[in-house]
Amino acid sequence: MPPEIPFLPVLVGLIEFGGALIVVGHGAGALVSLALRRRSVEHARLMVVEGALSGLGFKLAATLLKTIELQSPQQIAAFAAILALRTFIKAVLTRDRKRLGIASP
Amino acid sequence: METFKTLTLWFGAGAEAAAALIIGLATIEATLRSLVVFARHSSSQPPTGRLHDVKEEIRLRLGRWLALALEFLVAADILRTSVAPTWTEIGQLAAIVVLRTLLNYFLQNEIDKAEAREQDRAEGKRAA
Repeated sequence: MPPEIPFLPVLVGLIEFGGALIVVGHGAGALVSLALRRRSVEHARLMVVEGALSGLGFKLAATLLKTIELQSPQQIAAFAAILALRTFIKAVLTRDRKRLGIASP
Repeated sequence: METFKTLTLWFGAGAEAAAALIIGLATIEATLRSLVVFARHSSSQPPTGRLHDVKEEIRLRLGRWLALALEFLVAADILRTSVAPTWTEIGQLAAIVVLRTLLNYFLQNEIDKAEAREQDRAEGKRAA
């Protein structure tokens, strides 16, 4: 049934790539902030975690699209796993920001 | 009878197409908004809490769109199950319903927290 949506694989690929870009971008930004702007290591770490969180949001979207395409139990399990990961990382980020006393999470 | 089956399957495919469309548009929107935020903030030095809030808002928005797409998937699966009720299909429907409930639960949590924060900030301004 789903193969009637021909642009699906392309869209999945694009979104996954976007997610990867976001993670890499945040990582690079963290390094830059460390080297050029002399911000603390905690700040850099937080930036990387934020990159992971935003990237996971995109990965969630791509996995959902794949679920439309495949509709196998494994794919649904993959979606559940990514959702769990994202929720966990969000909790970690919130706790770290609170601990560092940066503007409330 | 056959026409009803075919019609139902078509509706199911339509729901899936709607879900795919929503996901595609939502990611494009998130990307564009992120680029705008990035362009605006890359110059300002101290990464204030505002930058985080704006990013958070983009994340929340994307999450809500995904939740909507998931609802369409539930609809598609219901239609598919009504046509070919094998245990595998019903199991899949159950799994998607559980996932959709979980996603909505966590999203609602995040939205509530974000609104509470907005409330605090507004009250802080008023008291100051």
